Amino acid sequence: MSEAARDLLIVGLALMTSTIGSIGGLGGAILLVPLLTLGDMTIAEAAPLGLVSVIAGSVAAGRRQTNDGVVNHRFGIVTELGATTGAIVGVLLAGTLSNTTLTIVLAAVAMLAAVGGAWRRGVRWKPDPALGAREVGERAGSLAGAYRLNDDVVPYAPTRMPLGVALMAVSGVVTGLAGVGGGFLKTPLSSEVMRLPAKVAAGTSTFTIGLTATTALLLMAIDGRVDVSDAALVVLGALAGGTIGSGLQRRMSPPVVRRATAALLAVISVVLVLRA
Amino acid sequence: MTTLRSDRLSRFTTLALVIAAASAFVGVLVRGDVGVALDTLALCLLAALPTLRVAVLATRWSREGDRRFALAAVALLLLMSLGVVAVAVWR
Repeated sequence: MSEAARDLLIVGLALMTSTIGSIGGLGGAILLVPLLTLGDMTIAEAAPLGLVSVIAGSVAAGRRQTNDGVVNHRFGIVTELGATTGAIVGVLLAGTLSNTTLTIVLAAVAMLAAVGGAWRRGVRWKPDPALGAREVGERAGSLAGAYRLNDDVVPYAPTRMPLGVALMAVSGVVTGLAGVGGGFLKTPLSSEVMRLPAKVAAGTSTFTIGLTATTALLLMAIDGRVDVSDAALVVLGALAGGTIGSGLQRRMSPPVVRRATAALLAVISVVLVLRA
Repeated sequence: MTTLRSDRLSRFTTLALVIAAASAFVGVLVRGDVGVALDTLALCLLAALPTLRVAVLATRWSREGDRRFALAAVALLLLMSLGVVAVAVWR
């Protein structure tokens, strides 16, 4: 393969995986890294590129998602405290479980989350005709908020936060051990355990996985594992993918977002089993 | 309700994204030392944005009197820094 064709392939793969990842708040790395390793790259070389795609997709999607009111920063920061604490513990404990065992655990959790998301019917939070466009966004001093759904405004208030943050910490340990971003665990936890609307769960997860990926990328940069030329190609694809994905998410109904996320989780589960 | 819509952070993010995309694009075309420098600039800009967003939120919430969440944002930034240092030293 010529160098130009290889470059175009990397841009194309980053675009495709970031588009898919931004719709469900899953991040594209878990799909991009295995795809890159099908060529001549090792996992060690592909992993930093996966993180770059998550950051670029997160930032690109975050701009539009914030404007649409589907990112709850307060919720994201509170849950990220648990997830980051868990991730640090997980990274420090890395090596205590075999990669195969970890990957199978991740695959099982992803499949469980897929089934949970696909199983549920209808929408949990209904539009409130009394609310106007000015109410879209986060409520100061609380974790509640409202988001825009077509011409309506839908209020919501997350529940079971202590359980959710504890589970986020556990997911952080698992993702820290396995060296993955964890968007595919954060989105279903936010949506199914803490009962955030599917779109807000996806938007908020897209915001928080950018933070996780930044920390991890910094550590890989310290180790000298980041190839900036290949990373620039991923940046180009992922910026476009994040923008396209958030635009597609805006047009989808909450059940469609939830089912699309469930389908992606099932695909991720299969990819993980194949990698194991 | 408070949002980040149409504010300075949103405009700054857009500007940083455009610069990062242009820098990465030119870096890919040019290659060599200049290309690597431009690629590095694109990466640094992108990597700074998520953390900067949390720092801006902490400042804003603190000014608005939403101290509980401002503290949570500062705690997250400290935790991230601690994590980087701990893992770098541990290795």
